[in-house]
Amino acid sequence: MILINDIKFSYSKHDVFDNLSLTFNEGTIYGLLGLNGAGKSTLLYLMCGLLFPQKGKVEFNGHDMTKRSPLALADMFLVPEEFELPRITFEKYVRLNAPFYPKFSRETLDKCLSGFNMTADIRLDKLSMGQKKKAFVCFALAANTSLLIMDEPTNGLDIPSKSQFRQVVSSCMDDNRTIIISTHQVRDVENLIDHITIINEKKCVFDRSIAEITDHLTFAATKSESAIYSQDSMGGGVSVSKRLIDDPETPLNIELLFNAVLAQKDAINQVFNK
Amino acid sequence: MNSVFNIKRFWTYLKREIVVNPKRVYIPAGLMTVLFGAFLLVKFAAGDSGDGVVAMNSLKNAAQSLMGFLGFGGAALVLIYTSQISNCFAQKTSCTDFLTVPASMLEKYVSKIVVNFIIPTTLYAAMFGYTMYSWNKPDTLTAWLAITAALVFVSGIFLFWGALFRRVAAMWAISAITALVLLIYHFRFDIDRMNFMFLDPWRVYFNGMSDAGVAGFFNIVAVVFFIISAVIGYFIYRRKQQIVKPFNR
Repeated sequence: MILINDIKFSYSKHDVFDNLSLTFNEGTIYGLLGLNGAGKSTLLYLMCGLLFPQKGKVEFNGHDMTKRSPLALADMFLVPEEFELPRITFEKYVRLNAPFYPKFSRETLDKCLSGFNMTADIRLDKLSMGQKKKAFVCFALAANTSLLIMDEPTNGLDIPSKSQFRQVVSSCMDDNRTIIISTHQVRDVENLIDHITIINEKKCVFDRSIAEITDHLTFAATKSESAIYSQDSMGGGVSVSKRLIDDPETPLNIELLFNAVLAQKDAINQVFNK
Repeated sequence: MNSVFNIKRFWTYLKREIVVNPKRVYIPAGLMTVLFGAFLLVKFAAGDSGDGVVAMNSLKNAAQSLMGFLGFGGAALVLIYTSQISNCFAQKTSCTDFLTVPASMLEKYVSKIVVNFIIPTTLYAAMFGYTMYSWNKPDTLTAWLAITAALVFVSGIFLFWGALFRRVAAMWAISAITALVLLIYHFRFDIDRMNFMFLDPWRVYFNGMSDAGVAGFFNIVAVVFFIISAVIGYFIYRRKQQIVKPFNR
């Protein structure tokens, strides 16, 4: 479990977070959403101990992340948006890095690679950006760490790979694991995430599970006067409304929810508080 | 498991560091092989005595010059590598990898010293020393001790310097020093004939090394100085890893 307790963080004069508190529990895949510059990547770096909060604490399974304890690092894995891989074969990369992760599973690695139609006999420097990302994600999943953090993991992936990504990640999920995915490409993580966290203007403005959202809200392909939020779309309009007792459950539209939360934060959250 | 220093984890990290940065080992090894190869070529072509036809003597002189250039070049390479120990904090991508690998800061720092200083210096000192010794010059051991002690001493400065400043500054400075040394060396190869006033301290130091006691003292001083620099460098390193510049922009 990762606990973010009342943190404040700023880049020189630009405040990013002020009194931000969040909890990420096991057995859940979190979708971390926010506008450009809202601080999604900053939050991920704070969780990994790459940045230190000016106030407050970030704890992962009881470890203060500012200490960067090897024991904590061995149980978490970060897939950053941009990364470097050495000029060696993937097999060699695995041999060199797997010993750092006590729960590393070769079986999981092979399963993930086959999920992406890849094999381990590849040279990392000969791969395209998308292929490198897939290989890195496979290693990250095979490390079997309790916490897996991915920053824009679908950037650079082609269309079939995005669907493979969802399948591969969901097949590696278990009750002891927390996966946090930060992304702009909300469609890429639809049907994968169990929980949505939206950050905006230095705070967390929305933090609900998918089950809670679909229990309390309905998403319609029409504009409605009684809706909490409506917007124009190619087909006419879309809207988010409070779900009434007799209303059927509707599929979640993450993009619409995101826009609704940014536009009508209080009205949306009020639905859940009642 | 100890979270400050664990020998198994250190060894795992060191292996990774060597494989991920092969040039730290291959370039000094390659350079020293060329140096040694040049020496062998001349040794067999011209003979140990150096007597023989003019062509052979020319070859011997050319190889001797090459040896000198490679000797200074190898030393400069060691200094460049040593000053790069803190370079892992220069870029976001290398920094992310460096900071998220599950090893302690001390294990990572010691690994950097091994890969950036101990391996290149050992390769340099061993090959250059053996080449000079085999050249049958009477003062080779003196020269070897003088150069090795000076290299270790200056490496200590560069480790500290590299920890404080950005790599570009350190590399430019090293390049300038190297160019100066090569220039002097090119015009005045034979150290006994050097008459530059500002080289006198070096000549005094060099001549002093012919005394075994003085040589031993200088080598110990150099090693102690390097260790002190490494300890201070570690604290600067720890400070840098707390406020990692690429992430704080």
